[in-house]
Amino acid sequence: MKISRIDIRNFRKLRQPVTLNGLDGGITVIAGDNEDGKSTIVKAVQAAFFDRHSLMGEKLDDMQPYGAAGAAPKVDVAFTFEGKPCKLAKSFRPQASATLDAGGKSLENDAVEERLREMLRFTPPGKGAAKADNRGMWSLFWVEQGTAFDPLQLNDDARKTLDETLQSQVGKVLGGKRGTKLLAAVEERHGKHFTAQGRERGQAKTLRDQAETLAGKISAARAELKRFEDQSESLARIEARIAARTRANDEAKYADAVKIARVKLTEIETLRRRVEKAAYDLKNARNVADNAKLRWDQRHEKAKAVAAMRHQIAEAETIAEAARNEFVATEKRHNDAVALENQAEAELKTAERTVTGARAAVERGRLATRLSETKAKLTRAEAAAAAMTGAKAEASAVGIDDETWKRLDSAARRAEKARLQFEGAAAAIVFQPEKTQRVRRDGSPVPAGTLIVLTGTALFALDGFGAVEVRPGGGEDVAELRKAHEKAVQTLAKELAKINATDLDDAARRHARWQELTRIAADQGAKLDGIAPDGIELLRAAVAQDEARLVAIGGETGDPDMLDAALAEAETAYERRQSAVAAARKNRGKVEDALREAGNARVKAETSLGERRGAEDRAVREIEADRTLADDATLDRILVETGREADAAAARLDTEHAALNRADPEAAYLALENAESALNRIKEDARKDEDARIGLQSELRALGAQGLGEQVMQFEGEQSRLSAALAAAEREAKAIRLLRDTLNAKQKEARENFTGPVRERIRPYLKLLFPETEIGIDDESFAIAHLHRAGEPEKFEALSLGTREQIAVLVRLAFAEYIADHGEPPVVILDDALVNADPGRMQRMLLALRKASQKVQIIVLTCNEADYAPLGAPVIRLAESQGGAGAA
Amino acid sequence: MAVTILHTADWQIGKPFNDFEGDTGAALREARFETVKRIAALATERKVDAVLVAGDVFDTPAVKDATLHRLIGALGGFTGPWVLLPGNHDAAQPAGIWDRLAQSKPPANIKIAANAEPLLLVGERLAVLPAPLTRRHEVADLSEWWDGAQTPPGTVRVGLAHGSVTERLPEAAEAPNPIAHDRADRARLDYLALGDWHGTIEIAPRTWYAGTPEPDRHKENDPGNVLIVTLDGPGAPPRIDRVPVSGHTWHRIEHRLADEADLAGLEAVLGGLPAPHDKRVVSLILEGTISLAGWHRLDTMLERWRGRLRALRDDRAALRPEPTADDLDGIDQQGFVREAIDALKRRADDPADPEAATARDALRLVYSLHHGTEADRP
Repeated sequence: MKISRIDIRNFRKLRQPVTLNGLDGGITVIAGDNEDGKSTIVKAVQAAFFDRHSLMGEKLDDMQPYGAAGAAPKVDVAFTFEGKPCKLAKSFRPQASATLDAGGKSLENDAVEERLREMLRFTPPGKGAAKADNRGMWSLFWVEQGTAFDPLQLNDDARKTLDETLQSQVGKVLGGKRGTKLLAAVEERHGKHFTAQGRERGQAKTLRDQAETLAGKISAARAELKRFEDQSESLARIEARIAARTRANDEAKYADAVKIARVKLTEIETLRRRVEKAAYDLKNARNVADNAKLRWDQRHEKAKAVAAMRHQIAEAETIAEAARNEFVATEKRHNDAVALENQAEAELKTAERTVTGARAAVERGRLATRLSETKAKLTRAEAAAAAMTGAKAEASAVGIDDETWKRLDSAARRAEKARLQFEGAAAAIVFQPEKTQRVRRDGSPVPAGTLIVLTGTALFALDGFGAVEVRPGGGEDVAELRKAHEKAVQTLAKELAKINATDLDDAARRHARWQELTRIAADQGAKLDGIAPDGIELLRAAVAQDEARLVAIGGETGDPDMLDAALAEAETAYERRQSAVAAARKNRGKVEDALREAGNARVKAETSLGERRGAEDRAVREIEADRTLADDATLDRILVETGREADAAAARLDTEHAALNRADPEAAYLALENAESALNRIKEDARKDEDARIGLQSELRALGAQGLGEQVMQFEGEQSRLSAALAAAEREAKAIRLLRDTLNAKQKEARENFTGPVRERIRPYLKLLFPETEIGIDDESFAIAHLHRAGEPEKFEALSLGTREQIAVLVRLAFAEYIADHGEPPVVILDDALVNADPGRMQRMLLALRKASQKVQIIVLTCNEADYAPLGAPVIRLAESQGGAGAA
Repeated sequence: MAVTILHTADWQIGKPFNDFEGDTGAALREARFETVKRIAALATERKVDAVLVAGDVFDTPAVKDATLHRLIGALGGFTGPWVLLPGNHDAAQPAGIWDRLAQSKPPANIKIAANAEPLLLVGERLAVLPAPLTRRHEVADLSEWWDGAQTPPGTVRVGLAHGSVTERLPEAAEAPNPIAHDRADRARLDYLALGDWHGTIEIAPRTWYAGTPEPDRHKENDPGNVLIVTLDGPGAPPRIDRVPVSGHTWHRIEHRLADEADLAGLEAVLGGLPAPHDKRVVSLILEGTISLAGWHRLDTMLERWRGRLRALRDDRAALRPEPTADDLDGIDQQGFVREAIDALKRRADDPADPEAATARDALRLVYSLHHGTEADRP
């Protein structure tokens, strides 16, 4: 298709007629400023081809020029299609009509719409204006302003056109409807066997589940059947044993063996009793012989003991004699020591008396001196005591001590205070008449010039004047004050009376005298304390005591130094005598100990001798008593005879033992034990087998009645059937999976082959702008999916606006070229589609436009005419085309 | 005076046949009781003196009591003596099936030959010498005692055993439970009634396997009969009458297919099975190659026959689907579908490919799905 002329009337903002004439088959640039109506031209061409002439409503309103609602929009387009000239004239309401002259054939109205659909291969909307989806592949090639950078969106018709074009190129690779239907059937069958995730389901799964359940049942039933069979075999074995036992008659055999063994044991018991009797006899004989031997031994032992005793007595007598001698010698030494001690003690007593005399002389001297001193002190003390006592007695006679004075002073102060208060409150009046006027109080005359002290209200009658009432105190209770004063004066008087004082001054004088006497008594007391701190009486007692002591000692008083020397000498002599006494006592003690030991030794030796003599005597008497019963010869004879009898009894026991051993009792016992065990075992086995037989029979009958064998076989049959069905289902599942995978793989391969030519067509365009770049096209939608630059995929949406715009335009040009190569070339209309290209990219894009224009018509609408100047393409300026005169 | 016996064996009562789909198993189980009833009726009709069952009356020694009672009921059609011998499937174990049968107090004419001792019947004119098995597998020849067994003079001696006659069975027979091939001679038998082999066959002089009266497997060895044996007297040769009694016939059909046209032959084979078809249990073993279209037709055909026959089991392990150019073109001639089936075909034809068989299945499937989807087309 190629458009040669476009006439537009009353279309949106194009109120004036616009004629675009002489459009070039290659590239035409339509230039106009913004708002000149470039986009309106695109919309008008779209309306002419795709909107029904009978269009109504909002969309029609949109078409009508602004402010000219009644005008009918009209678009005429002259073009060639399949090489034949065509002319389309479409007028919308209110003068709706359509005509199409194509290839010498004229069509009108709806026939025009129908023909256009066939020619341009689009699906109109049910009602309303056509949208991009309704414009078939033309929406791909007619790019409206501001949409060039959007991802390529192919509507169904566009894809169909592309598909058909491609199919004519690569053959019927997609298998057509038949392939699609078959694939759907395969998918459906696959879905019966597998989930979307590829897991098994459907018949095979059901069968497998059933088979597993059944396998469990079979296993259980087989186990039960096995138990049945095992028990059946057990029962057979038991019955065989019972039968064998019955045949062998073992029980009777072992019962006989037991009987024989028991008889043998009875015989052995008799022999054993004989052995026991012989053993008993031997024991008795040995006892008798042992007794005889014992008596014989005892007799000989006693005789030997008497001899030994006599020897010991002789030894003891020697020892006793020696002890006695020792004692006598020690006793003499002791007497000597006692005499020496007594002498030393007598000398000590003499020395002691000398010391006592010397000590008394010394004491007398010291006592006389001390007595003289004590007596002098006593005299001084008695003088002080007398002075103190005199002062105290006088003070007492004065009678006013500090306390009394303090009380008096206090009473006087209180009386003075009361007086001052009373007198302060009383009124003192002195009447001084000028003449002889008289003054009366309570009828009594008051002398003039006399001080009258008033302590209460008084009414004075004044001659020639009347009366004057005087109220003293100004409100105070003068009477009360007077009373208080009088009371205080009385109290003072009472105190003075108590001490017989005439007045307070007398009392003061007496009190001063009392103080002086008191001080004198104290001074004398202190002096007394200094002389006799323990009291004067003690001094007197000391004098009396010393005087009495002196009288007691008596004698004359000598020179004290001489007396001291005599005392020292006497004491030294005394100490020497004390040492001599101690040495004598010590010696005497030692000799006393020796004497005691010698005494003890003598007693011990004599006691021992006595005891030995007693024992020997008793032993001799005992032997003699024994011999009266049996003499030594008799005992010898009995010893020989009893020994002989014991030997004979031992020989008899040996004989009986040998007889018992010959009978082999252990073997006989073991034989009985074996026979009894065997018999018991056989009986026990028989009993157990019988019990087991009864139990197993009952159990087997019950198990058998359940039909376990039938059940197992039924399950097995079912299993066999299920296995076959499962194998078939699995086989089909495997086959359907392989079929589906193969079909899908081949379809994918075909699609890749299918979109290959488109990719091939795009590559040179991309190379113009982006060397080393590959484009990824979605096999289903033909949309641009991504870009591969330097091997790295980049999502289309992530590219810059300019790059997206340029790639989208390049892909459209490639698609257009591809379609042109295989059918009717489309017209590409680009409305300001490259506004985001920098000058460098713009130059490359112009090369791409030039390349595409060799196969398809390109109409560029732009507000930047200069951008396209390098193309050298014809330019139609919109401003010059209005009014119907536009031309290239 | 002659003695007539009915010789049968291997009833395998209780066998479940649960490996069959649907209600076939139940029908086959039921059929065995029906056959026993027919045997009873035949014995009555032919006035036989006794019916000897040579082992494997039951398929397992552990059958339900209900099965036991059901059998006793089925035996009611003949009032003469039934001599039942324990076989390897129902050995005479203590407290086993035979004890349970005895304890259920069956009619007096039902005699269990569980002991190795002569049974004198028909007024002592018939001495039955049984060799009952007491376990499933016996190494010794249990019939040996017959050689020295004494029977009253003038009595017809009939041996009754279950096992394999040594060195005689036509195919690999079970080794256990041996019976000497010359036992009839050695034990001076007038007839030896045997069980275990499910086909009817005279295995040695005066020695017969009666075979199972109701087949239970696809083995072409002449099952489904009983033998009516007339013994004219001691030493006289037995007269044998083979009488078919089975309810169902089991067939094993092996058929080779080379192309689609051979399906007509198969149809003819199946169509040639004697009526009534619902008494036929068929095992069909197919081999050869067939196109996908042929396979599709085969499916349709066999589905039809499955409805007509009592049971039809087909084994196609040796039948190889071989897609033809027409098959593949029929699915698609171009586009990715065709490329996919070509790829599958290459894999199916590659013996080294472990998925070759799956690829063949996938081709069958795609053909079938394609025809399903094509059928939907307006």
